[in-house]
Amino acid sequence: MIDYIMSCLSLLNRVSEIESSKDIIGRLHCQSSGVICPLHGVMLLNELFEDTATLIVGAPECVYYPQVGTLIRLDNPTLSGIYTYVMDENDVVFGSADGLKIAAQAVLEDPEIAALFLVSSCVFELIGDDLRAISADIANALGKPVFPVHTSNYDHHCPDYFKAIERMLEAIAPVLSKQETIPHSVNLLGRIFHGNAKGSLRQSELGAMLEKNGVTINMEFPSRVRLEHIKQLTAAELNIVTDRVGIRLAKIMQEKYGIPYVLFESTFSHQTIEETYLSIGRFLRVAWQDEVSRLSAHTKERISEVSCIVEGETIIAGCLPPDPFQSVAFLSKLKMKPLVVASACLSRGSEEAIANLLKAGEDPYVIHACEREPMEEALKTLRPRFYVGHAPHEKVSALGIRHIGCFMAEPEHLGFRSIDNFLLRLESAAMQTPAEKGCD
Amino acid sequence: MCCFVFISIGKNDGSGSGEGVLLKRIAVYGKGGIGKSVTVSNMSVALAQQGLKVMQIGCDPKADSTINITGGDRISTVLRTMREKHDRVEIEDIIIKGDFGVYCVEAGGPPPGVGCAGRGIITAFEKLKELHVYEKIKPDIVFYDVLGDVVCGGFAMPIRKGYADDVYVVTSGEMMSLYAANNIISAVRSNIERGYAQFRGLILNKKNVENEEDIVRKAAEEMNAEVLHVIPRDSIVQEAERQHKTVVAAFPDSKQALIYKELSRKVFGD
Repeated sequence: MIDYIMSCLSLLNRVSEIESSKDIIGRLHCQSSGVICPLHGVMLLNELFEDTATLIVGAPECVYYPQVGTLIRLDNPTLSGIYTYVMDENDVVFGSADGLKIAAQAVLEDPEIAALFLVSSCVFELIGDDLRAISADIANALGKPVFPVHTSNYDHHCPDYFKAIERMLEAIAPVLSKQETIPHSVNLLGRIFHGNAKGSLRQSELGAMLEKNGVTINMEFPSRVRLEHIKQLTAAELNIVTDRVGIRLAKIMQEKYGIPYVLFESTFSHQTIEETYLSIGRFLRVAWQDEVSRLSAHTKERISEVSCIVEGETIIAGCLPPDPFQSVAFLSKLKMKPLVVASACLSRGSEEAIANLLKAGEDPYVIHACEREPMEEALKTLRPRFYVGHAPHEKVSALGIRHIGCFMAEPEHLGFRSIDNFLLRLESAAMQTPAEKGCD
Repeated sequence: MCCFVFISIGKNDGSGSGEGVLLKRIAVYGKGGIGKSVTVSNMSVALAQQGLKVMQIGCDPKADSTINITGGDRISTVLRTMREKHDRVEIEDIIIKGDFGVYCVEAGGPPPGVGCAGRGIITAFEKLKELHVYEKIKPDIVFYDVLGDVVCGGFAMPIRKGYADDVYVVTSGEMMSLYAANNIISAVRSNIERGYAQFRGLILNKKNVENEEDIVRKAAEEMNAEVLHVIPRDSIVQEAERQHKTVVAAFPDSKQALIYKELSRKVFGD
């Protein structure tokens, strides 16, 4: 068994060999149809819109997943708003426009449904059906907005469900119109959807800081909302993009309505957090420099404290957010020994994080995040002291490995507090050892 | 001469060998507009005139391969019929007897810019198989008249194992036509070990390009291919088309008809 596992690990690239997402190889090229599939993102976002429906078109196997996923997730699935259109042979040969028009009409006849997301999937995209044109035709015929959302495994480089969420948010942009600006106001655009994350960005450190300093949070988007209220997005002075799913919409709002945006994503860089806070403060004329400096100094101090406790400890990690390479680089900054990092693709900041990792003398294996088995085998074989990522807690604990959950998997994990929170959990896990480590 | 009637399966209509042995299955490829359908239709009628049971299957979404055998009438395509009748498609719905008893089939396909024409060809072929068309009609020869270049797997269907045995490519002396021919021949040859059809030769359908025959023979040499037959350009082809007929049917004693008959003998064998 060990021979097999070692040979499995020997097939993997190490961080030093990663130049592009294609270098993140798994043993298999096939992928889970679960959370990796863009339709998973469609299912998640659909739940947040109160008066829109989502019609997903594709092969029976593809549309099964979001349909059944919705049935499982919701107490009252009949109100889910998810509809599926299964393409038959005729649709593949002749295109599905005619059938989709009939299906959309049946859905939009419900007066409670204000708009429709028309979502494609692989087969639809492979035959080149024109989603935009079909959506426009249906909208013209039925007098309700129809938002085309392209999802397909073959039209982007990083297959994951964020793409679908990002595209759904972008698709809704046409309903926006310029509203009167609310002075001193922001939108919080984008949110974390990992592991069924609940909660509100208003509860984050960022949210609290804004409210404490008199900044109005105009909208938190996406959140439970009705279509007519989405227009209100353009009343904000500034968009704070709290997750990458909101970037496309933020760019559109900047171009069309002159609303600037700033990125404030989950990160382990306290310098980045500090700089972003100061940048927001300058734009909104908020004098919070002292408080930001105090929070930053506290986090820096905590990094130093926890580093003393976990120095030299082995760890395997891989989950979002932040970017896994950035997270593992942070672990190496804590002087830990990362053995494996799991990631699906490189993202903004990966390159710098990889450089920092290598500079620190660390060169862990890279496992493709979409594969569960190699990670399980790596845990069994390499037996790190800690594990950060998704896995059944009991299984990980049974191996004598301390499972710390995820890095920052809740919407409120934004700002210095998100780093502090992780450090606290790491520290707590480390202190459970019989021979507790401490700093002199 | 067009006997545009629904076929009657199981009855001996007096045409063909009646032996139930499919002697030849031939796919004809070539660049769009090069004259494939005219060439194939003339061969079909020529062989039918000799008493053979001939089936011509148009594999182009335009569905006009057999139009000069059916007297200009558009026949219901396999795919359109499947769309309208779902699982209730019968052989009689999709096969029409044209001039001299040639069995005419059009695979059909989506309108331009919509759906997947390649998948359409596969679907149509599967339907013909499912309906046991070849077993029931027992043609002596089947012609597959295939759209342009082999743009995707669907259009390679006729050359795959179980369909055509021999492939011919119609070309002119124009560069783009020869380029397409080269692509098709490469596709056929690279799959020969998989049991695909064999490339048998080029058919030069002249467009009156200067030194056309020399150009094509030289190109054929480079492609390691034989120029099986040369069809001169003749306005009689357009005259026959105006009558919605093949040259062989409309002007059976013309020089051009003899040329098509000679080609059909070469393709089918004596």
